[in-house]
Amino acid sequence: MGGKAIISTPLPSARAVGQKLGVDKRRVAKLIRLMDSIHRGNRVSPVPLGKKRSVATKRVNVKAR
Amino acid sequence: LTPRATIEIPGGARRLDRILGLIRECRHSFHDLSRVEIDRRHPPTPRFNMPFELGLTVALAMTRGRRHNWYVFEAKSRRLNKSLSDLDGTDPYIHGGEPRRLLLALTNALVRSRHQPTIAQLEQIYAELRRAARALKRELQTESLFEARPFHDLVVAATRSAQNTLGTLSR
Repeated sequence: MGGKAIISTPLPSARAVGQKLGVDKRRVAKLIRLMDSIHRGNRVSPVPLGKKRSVATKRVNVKAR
Repeated sequence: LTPRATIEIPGGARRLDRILGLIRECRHSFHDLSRVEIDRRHPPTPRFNMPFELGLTVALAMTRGRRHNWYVFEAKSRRLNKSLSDLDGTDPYIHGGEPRRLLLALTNALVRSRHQPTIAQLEQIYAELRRAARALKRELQTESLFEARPFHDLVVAATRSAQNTLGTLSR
């Protein structure tokens, strides 16, 4: 234990890490938006990431009103 | 540091080959032996994977030319002396099974790192990552985050959270 190594390498950005792991860059951008939103203290959207509500759902909501 | 795990490597390579490959790739490894417990499913058996992987790491670190730093974590003090007396003389980092103490233990293990976040900052990242994990589970419709895709997503999310919380990372 207690190696002499000094960990001085600057840590890469989320984009660089995503690229290294082979994560699609649009997916990385989406994750970055999610984390920025959480960091700002916003509620996480109840709509799953990247999944838009269908037109049918919107129509039902309009009728309900 | 970029977290790596065996689960993220696709393909039909033998699990053991994948583990060895990852250990060779990484300069640091963290071995938490606190979960070496009896599995309740029949037949009840202890899980030996983690001590086995620690053994592989120690062997590789002693034989390979490049330096590899390994760190042992345990929930209870003195348990390591009993369960793995071959490591007598090695001081494990004790976390008591609590996230806060684990973060504290990690800061002690990585005391030589250029980045020295406070416990409050690490707790902030942990809280943000918990929220992200819930969102990811919902989106990917999975119960476990210990699969290739959710794990990659979590690593990217954690890096971003760290960037947002610690100014030093983006410099």
